[in-house]
Amino acid sequence: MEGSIKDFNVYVGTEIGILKGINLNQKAIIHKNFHKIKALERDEEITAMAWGDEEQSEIMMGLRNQTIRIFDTDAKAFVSSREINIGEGPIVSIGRWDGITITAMKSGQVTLWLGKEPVEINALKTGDFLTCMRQNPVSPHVIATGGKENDLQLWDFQNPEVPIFRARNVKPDMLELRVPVWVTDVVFLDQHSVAVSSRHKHVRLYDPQRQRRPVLNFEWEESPLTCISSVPSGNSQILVGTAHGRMALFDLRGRKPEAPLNVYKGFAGGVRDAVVHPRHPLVFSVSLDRYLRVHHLTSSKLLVKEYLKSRLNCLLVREKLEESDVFDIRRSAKRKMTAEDPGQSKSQLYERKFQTMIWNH
Amino acid sequence: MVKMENTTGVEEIEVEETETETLTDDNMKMENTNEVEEIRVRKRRKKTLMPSRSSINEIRNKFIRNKAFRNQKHEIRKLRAEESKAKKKGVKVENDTPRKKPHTIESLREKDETMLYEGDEELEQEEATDTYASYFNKSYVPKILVTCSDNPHSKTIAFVRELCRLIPEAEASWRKRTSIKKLIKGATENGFTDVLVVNEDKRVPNGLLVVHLPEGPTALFRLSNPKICKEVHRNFREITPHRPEIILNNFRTRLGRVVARMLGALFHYDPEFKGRRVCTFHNQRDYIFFRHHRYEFKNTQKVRLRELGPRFTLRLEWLQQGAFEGDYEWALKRHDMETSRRRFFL
Repeated sequence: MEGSIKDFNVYVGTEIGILKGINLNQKAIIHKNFHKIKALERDEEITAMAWGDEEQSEIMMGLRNQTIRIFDTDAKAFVSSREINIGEGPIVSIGRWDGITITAMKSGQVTLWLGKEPVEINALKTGDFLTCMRQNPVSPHVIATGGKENDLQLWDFQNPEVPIFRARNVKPDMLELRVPVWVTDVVFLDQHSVAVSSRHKHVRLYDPQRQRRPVLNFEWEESPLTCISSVPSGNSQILVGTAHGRMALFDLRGRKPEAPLNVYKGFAGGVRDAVVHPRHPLVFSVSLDRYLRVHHLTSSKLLVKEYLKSRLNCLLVREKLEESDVFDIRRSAKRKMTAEDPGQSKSQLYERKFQTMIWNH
Repeated sequence: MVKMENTTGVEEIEVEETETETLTDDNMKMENTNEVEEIRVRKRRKKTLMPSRSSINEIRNKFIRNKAFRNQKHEIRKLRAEESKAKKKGVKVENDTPRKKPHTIESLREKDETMLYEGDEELEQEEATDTYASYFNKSYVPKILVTCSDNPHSKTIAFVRELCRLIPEAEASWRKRTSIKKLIKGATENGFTDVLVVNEDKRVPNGLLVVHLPEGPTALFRLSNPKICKEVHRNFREITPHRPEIILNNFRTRLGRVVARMLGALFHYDPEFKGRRVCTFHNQRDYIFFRHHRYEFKNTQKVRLRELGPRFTLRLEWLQQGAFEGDYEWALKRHDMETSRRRFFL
């Protein structure tokens, strides 16, 4: 039991640069800061987070001042810190291939840090800045990038000069104006498809082998979309979050993909990051209003809501998390409220009496 | 019939548990023994106490009920008169029943996790590295640009002019159909630190957009009940150019703190106490009341206030990171948030 208490299920990165570990447990939700708060500066804001390896024992964090920090979850300590001075801007995304780190900068340089000769891809040949980079989970040497005025591109590290796939913008709208592009997040759905969310409220699905224009394109809500993530159990379902505080689940293969299957409510601020657990029907989300929320995937009920004091940027969830940890919390919270009066059994008796009385009448 | 001891301001709604299944009127009637009271307290100790009706209401006969009520009031009035007499004389009353504080919606406020407390390290760190940290480090003097929407009517123009008199270093400028993004860009280039945009609807100002310029947060407030100096029967010339003191009252949650900093940072950090001007932003139930006074201390206990200048009420609609772009840190969603009368956010 002690081990599971000390083990953290969810890791969250904040705007002031603190890494927080949260233990969602049956008894209580514990969260811990892994930093000396006073020693941090604003440019140590955590802008990207990723698991370092398959066993999820290492966390890689990318900071605003272009440093990478590695945190060991077993030892609960920071292992190393490394500065990369490439381009400008914060680290937008971080990843690993074969034990080698991949970093993406806001100014477009995606680098594979191979010992002496790092392989560099300049993903920002056109456009303002890069906002996202994601690895293909099936073949991790393939990455997708997107940015402001920089549409989706797929690159392969084995051939860094030319992208494998470059998306083409949709046709001009009914006023003959070019539709602007601002990709906020990318996700690989299966071997054939890539989904993209944009700040102009578009959700688009691309099939790199079929055509350059998006296969599916729809708008949702009147608020910019900030994050997209896939439901790992397949079925081409995606989860999209907005800047205003709404999150929804879409099925891209259905007859009407623009109608959300489920809308998750309860946010006051913009959704910063959302993750669906690989095994359980749980949606973890982190938002600007300083809360971590866990919803149930299909019933869209809010299960856990935890106040975490600072604005939250990124989120990582352990695969080992048990569904019982999350479900029981809600029930035990109710029990906590009534457990304060010692006549708990009496109140239950009373409730039963009350119910039978209603029937009598 | 009805004992005095039981008429408290707040009582707990009690139902006695009996052997029989049904609840009759007898069982519902309140008993006045202390023993039963104790059990009640233990059983029903909820976190928020609800004010309940006094036991006089249980009397069915109108005539007797009215009589009992009048008696009760009479007793209370007598007691209070005695107390105040004794106070004037400086003598303590023997059976001094302490006046119980009546419950208000504020005292019954739902418990909020985001309430601030002393010594919060994260809060201190965040505020030390905030966009407003440079203001609180006294490194710059705020320079405000006040505009309104296109084609303003007389009330809005008057309000904008009042705001310029109120805030030191504020300049008014007409909108001339610029978009807010262009306005922000132009203001940053000209060295302004904050922009206030007064929105108008039906010939009356009804919204206030506060934008902190170097990429700071943006807040939209709904402005209600705006009154200029003339409507408060004062002369605007009474507002001297001395820099005012700012009072920010009752901003107790994290969100309230952010808003309070925004509003406080509109004014100069160094007030001129000689001018005896004070601007108060008082938050109550999510409405921020703004008042502007000149104060005079008669002695260390008593202050005389003379209200100058404009008076208005604000309510936060949304708070956005970034100067009119970016994600929303908080947005009011009435359906989701206004579910309880006892739930507030600032």
